Amino acid sequence: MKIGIPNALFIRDKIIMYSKFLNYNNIDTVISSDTSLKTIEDGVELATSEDCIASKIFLGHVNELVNLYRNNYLDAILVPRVYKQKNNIEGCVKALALYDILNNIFRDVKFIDVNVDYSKNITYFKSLINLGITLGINSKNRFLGAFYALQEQNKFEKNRYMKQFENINFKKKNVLVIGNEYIVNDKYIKRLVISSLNNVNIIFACINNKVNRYKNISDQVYFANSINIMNGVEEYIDFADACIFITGFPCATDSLVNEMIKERINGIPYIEIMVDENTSSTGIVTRMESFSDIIEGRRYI
Amino acid sequence: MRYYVGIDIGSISTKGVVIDENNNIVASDYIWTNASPIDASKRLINSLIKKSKKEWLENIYAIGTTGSARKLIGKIIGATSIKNEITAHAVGTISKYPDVSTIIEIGGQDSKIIIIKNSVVIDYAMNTLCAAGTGAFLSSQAKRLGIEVEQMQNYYEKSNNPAKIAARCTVFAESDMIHKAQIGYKKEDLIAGLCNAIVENYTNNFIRGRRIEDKIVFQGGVSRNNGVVESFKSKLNKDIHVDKDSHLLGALGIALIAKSESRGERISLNIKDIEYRIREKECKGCSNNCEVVYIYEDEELLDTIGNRCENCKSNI
Repeated sequence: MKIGIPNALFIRDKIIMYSKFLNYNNIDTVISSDTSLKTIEDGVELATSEDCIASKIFLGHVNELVNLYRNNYLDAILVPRVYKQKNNIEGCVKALALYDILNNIFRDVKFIDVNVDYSKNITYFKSLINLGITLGINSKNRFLGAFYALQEQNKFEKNRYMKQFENINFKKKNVLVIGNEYIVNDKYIKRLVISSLNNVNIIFACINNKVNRYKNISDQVYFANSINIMNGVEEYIDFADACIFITGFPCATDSLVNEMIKERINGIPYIEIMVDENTSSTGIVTRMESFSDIIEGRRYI
Repeated sequence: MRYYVGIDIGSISTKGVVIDENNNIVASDYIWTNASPIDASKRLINSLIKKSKKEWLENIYAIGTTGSARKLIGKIIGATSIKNEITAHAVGTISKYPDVSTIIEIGGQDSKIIIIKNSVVIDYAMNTLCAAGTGAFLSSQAKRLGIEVEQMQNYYEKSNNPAKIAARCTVFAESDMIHKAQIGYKKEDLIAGLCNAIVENYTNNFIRGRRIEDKIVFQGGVSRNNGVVESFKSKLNKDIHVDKDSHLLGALGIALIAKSESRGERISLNIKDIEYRIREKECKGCSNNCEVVYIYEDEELLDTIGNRCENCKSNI
């Protein structure tokens, strides 16, 4: 059996967990490739015009897997949903609709959904067990697979967290890049925005394991993505010489965070870069080049 | 005496200056780009050559380009410095107003705010996804009203009752304007409303949360419109300075940057009178999908812009 997993939106961050669980139970996984221009073009064609760039990218990734499914290379595509995370924190509501949207767009394709909802005691572990039941995996393997998958995911997150810290370079100017993980770590967007920043050290602070540092900025934060971004800011801002906030257009949750972050980082150069499917490199290059000049603080006269 | 050249190739106009060692502008010109940056640069350079003395041209030590076509023109004329327009405008303005704190810049397609502290840029913001509230917005509305954009300020002065027009979107502003005209607003009130709308749009987009401190310098093509200047003064309740050379400050800035980066070698200012062919293509050579600009000189590939690897050269 082969199952496709789209490497986009909230799934990106837990891709190790899902693939390890399936692989443990002898199910092959195919993860969609890195975002390219074609991914975005395909996504834009499938999405409604008011969708955000992140969901358009997501649809592009699913489209790649759908093509494999239609060529009998895949048996199903996994689309997990996260209703409520720990402490009843909610994710972006748009993502909740994705499974239904996909079923509506690709009516001939088999999608498997699996829910995470901490308010109903469906933790990530429980959701993997449920996924195992859906796939007909026996109870022992379900349990061992879920245990192994979560262990691997935790290991990955811990490593990433440590690497981010090790990445801080005191000999160079450190630029803190914040935003949702699926935007900031998306290779296409990353390349578009970051490639023109020269001679600086980049710290990507999109994910954070410590979940309550955001309260230093505000304890009234509603969405999980906003909390992640604020935790990132709190964690690294003291090491940063400048800060870039990359946001997808239009993102309702980011628009709430932006103003609060601006106040928190008061004093260091800060720029918000908004990307959508029409963003060309020209405009971004100008903005990033001038931002580099600001970081450098060079006088020409 | 050494001389330096700065060329600012914008979306609407192309500006150029020749400066001497003491940063004085000794020759300058301002022409329309007419959607052809290469032709505009040829005309501009020829005009600068005509306006310059032989001695100046023989002692040019650096050439800089800025503006949206900076890389293209920079490659063609062999510029020694190529820099973004934000830094160039800031440097140009600081040279004239060392105590400047805020630069308001509204050009043909973009608008920006630059915050300066102790002669160093510390913050800026630029319009991102939309060009409402820029020079292009004003020209399209002027066209609709049947007047030249340059005449707008004459109308502004006559207005006693400016119409309220939303400048969030050019199309909606047009609907507002049509509606206000239909209910009897005079042309001058509509124009005054447009000038106010530009300022309203600008303050909503850029000033949010920023402390606007003196000295404020307003530049870019729209600074030529006194209506917008007056509207800024009353909105911010501060004095606004518009330099007589405000349209040249980007070019002056890049000339000064070129001067500071000069390697001390003489360089000649000329642009060959040959046909340059430009071709833009999305390269499929790798997953970067760069938007590459290929520059051909007499059918021979001279250079490429926008590529992140060399694959595009074998993938034309």
